[in-house]
Amino acid sequence: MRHGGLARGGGQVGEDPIAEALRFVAAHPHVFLLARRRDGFPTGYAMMARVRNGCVEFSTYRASAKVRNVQRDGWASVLARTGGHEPLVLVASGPVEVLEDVGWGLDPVGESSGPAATVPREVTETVRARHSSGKRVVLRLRVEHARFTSPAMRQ
Amino acid sequence: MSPRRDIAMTTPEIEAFLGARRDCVVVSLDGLGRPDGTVGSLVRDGRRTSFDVAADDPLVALLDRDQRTCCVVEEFPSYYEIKGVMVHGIATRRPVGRASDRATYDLEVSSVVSFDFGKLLGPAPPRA
Repeated sequence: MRHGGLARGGGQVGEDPIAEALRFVAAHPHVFLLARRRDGFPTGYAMMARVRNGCVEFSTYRASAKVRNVQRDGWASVLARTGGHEPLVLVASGPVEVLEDVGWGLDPVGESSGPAATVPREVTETVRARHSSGKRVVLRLRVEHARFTSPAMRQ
Repeated sequence: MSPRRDIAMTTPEIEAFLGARRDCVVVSLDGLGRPDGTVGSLVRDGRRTSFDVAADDPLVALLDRDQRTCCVVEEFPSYYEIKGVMVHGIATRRPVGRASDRATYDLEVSSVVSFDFGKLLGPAPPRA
């Protein structure tokens, strides 16, 4: 039975959970990329994400530790949350690939406006140039699992 | 090649930052070694660090199995005001004397990583 109300992530109840997770990330793009370091410890990177072609994407330097970490395991998670004292929290995970020839434009792309709304234009222009020169790459996470939690849901 | 700016916080800056904030993201590993996370509350009291999460959070079972943890505290009022600290360590759960809706852990810190985007606006470092 389908209900007409909103689901946990703001989509329609009965919606595909992966689609619901992507919609949530698009609405809350200030996220944490979760990975595992070379020494085996988990770690989290605060990043801006965008949702494109059914995946969560991040822009980062090719030489960064986070690229090495996700390449090593080929898997990562993303944590997105609402604001407030008792937030709705999404943890979505899946395989990650590193894309070298994907741009990171100034304008909203695909289903999400991504970081364009909050990052200064001069920074966004520099990021775009770094993608053109190959210094930056895109991490693309294809969500296979998604879990929403909130204090209210556990009561 | 241009030298990269050092945007890490100093130790006093880290202590001040953590001392003024509680909200954090707690990262753990599942049985396959894959990262999982939740939201929690971090307390930095002098040289002691602890955090808590909801006692019925799925992460509690993961921390019981693998104590390796990362707590991330960050703020993002604007791009050049982005600051954050990642604290890695071994989490040991405190005994629960009575029913509690929080699981509290002492964190034996092994590494601290920080960033302050405001330092991107400072003078460029000299070329080598």
